Amino acid sequence: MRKKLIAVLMGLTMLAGLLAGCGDAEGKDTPDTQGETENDKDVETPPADDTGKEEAPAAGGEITVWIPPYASSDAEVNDQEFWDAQFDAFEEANNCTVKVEIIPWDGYSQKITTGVTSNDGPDIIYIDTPYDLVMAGAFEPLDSYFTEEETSQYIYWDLGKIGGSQYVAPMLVGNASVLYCNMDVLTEAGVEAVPQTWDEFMAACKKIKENTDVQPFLQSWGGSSIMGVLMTSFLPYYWQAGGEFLNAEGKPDINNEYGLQTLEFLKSFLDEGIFDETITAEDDIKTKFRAGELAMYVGDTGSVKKHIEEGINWDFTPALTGPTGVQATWIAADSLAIASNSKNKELAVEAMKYMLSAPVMDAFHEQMYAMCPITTDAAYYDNEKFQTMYTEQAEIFHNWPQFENADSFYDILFKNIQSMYMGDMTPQEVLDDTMSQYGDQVF
Amino acid sequence: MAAAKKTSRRTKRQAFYGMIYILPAFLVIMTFCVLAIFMTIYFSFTDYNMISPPKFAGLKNYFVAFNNKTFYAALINTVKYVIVTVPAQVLLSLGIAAFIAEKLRNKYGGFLRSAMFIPQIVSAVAAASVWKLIFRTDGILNSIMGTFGSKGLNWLGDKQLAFLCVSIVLIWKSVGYFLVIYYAGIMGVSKELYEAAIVDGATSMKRFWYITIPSVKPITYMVITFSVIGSFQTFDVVYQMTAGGPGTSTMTLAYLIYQYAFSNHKMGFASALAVILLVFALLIHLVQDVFFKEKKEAR
Repeated sequence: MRKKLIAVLMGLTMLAGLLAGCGDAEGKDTPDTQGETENDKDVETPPADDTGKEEAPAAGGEITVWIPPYASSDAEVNDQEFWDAQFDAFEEANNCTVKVEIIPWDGYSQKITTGVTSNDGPDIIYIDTPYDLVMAGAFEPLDSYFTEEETSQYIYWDLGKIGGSQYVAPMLVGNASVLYCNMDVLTEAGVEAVPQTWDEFMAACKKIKENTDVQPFLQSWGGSSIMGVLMTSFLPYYWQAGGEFLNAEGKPDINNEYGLQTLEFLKSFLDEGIFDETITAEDDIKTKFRAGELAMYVGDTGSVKKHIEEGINWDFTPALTGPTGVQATWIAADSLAIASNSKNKELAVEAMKYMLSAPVMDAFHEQMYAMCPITTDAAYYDNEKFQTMYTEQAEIFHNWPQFENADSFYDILFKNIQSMYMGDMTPQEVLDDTMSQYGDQVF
Repeated sequence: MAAAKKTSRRTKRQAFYGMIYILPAFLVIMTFCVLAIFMTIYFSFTDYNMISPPKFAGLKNYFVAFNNKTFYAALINTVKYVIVTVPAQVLLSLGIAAFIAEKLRNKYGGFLRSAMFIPQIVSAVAAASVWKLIFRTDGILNSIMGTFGSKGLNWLGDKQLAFLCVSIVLIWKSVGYFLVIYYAGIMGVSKELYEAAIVDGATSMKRFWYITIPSVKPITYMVITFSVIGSFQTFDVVYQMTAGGPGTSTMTLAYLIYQYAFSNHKMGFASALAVILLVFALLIHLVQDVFFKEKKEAR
């Protein structure tokens, strides 16, 4: 009898454990990461009434925010500590809990997809390429949650419009891909100023190659950071050539004279011996630039802090001017979205407004990562050399084109350009095959 | 009669308790294995983006798959991985296990076994990240080659070399696991067989060939099965080291499935690819089964 009792109890215990594991997360304790840390005390927290709201609603409840990391590895405050501290005032004012989860950049968009499709996913999601998820109905339209007065404060608000509706709210705008130059190397090579056009740029590369031991220019067409490579090493040149990424139907179409011109220009660096066969390998371009081993590269403005720390005599141009006289480059315009399956949309929108408010974003730009101010009342924290570019040359900036299966398109294009550099494809074949493969995948 | 009834009641009770014991494991297996397979088969006949409800699409996903250039590239690469890694994993693990059993039955052998098992317990992504650092153009391997005056190689940026690098990591990761299985098998072989062979003057190579290999044949069957399945599922190492590139030179079916499912939001199509992968794995397993069965009958 005792054995039977033990058997039944053990069976039920195991079953209960299993069912508990399958249950939802409601009622669970707040994770330890939400607790105050030593560093919390050092993080500047804006008062809740600095967000422009006169009176906070008695909202209550719990929401989850998914956001990627921005703090540098040697930062005094990490992302989790920063956001936890920022939300302290909001939580108190709204009698709620905001659970911030820092999602690593690696595979970020895939994690978002699985997150928003689960019933226990985030309420507020940081996103860079929202098109597919918007089309799949994963995000709540924001139009009705923001008054005209509120939207007029956001400088880049229209970048969040997809299909005529506002689905995302631009949060981090900036980090443009600019051409950095090591002026000591350029001077040594006899290049007097930062090149401004494609021809000047190629001529400068050749001079540096002839007159110095330093590598003139480098791209990194290897590894797994496909978007990171395209935003610095293909898109700026395509736009500079005069190309439009999307056709009149809103579909990607790069199989045109501009696409060909772009790829031929990129390939000419290999043909001229500026690049070597390691162009298809992953290279740490920034480290080489900071070590004085590389004269020029196209990279994000966020890297400049370390260039300065390393004592590099640097200068830059926002973008080269292509053969048709177009100056253009890529800029980040990552946004926040509200999940359509959020159980507390009103609170999520309030939290979103709070995150986008000048005090929070100013703190973010000052402590985490400097970018452009996104509201009219926010301050400029990025390097002063970039201020004119960001404030007076907005017309040269392009963000990711938004279209169906964009990740897939970029992946095919990336792999085909790799094949071009390996001698397996001509520039025209890259364009033909990219469009053909993409066409096969949009079904 | 009464005794028979009592026995029957006891048997029923025992069966009932037995069922309660296995119920949790049964539910887990049903939910995460059997049900998942049936759901994948179902989704493969639908258009499904994980957010909207699936819509029946018939065989469309399969037709699209068999007309997809990248699918064939991934399939060929997957088969190439099986051809390269399975024999290497089996031969290396058997050879090292036999060597340890024969020559290193001491603390050094134990250390070697443990050391070789470590890659198996290390996260594949972490291991691949470290190997990526080793194989970079400015990585450790090229630095070592540089000290010998060599220019170094473009390990992950060249098609053939990238494939080789991924294969090396796959082999390195699994050899220790199979080694432990083989070692246990070899230790179970009767010592008298080896002693008799030594008396008859058999060399260690002959003992290995005529005693060890036939004795561990069931283990070899199991190791090959695991190795084939593992090679067909190659994903994390490719994901971390090469993202399927350069070009499509290291792309595998499992990586392609992941891309379609989570980058392109085409879960229906990804499910069709998963079903095709399952069928291929089963076919290879069937061939392997027939091969081993024939050998057994021939004996």
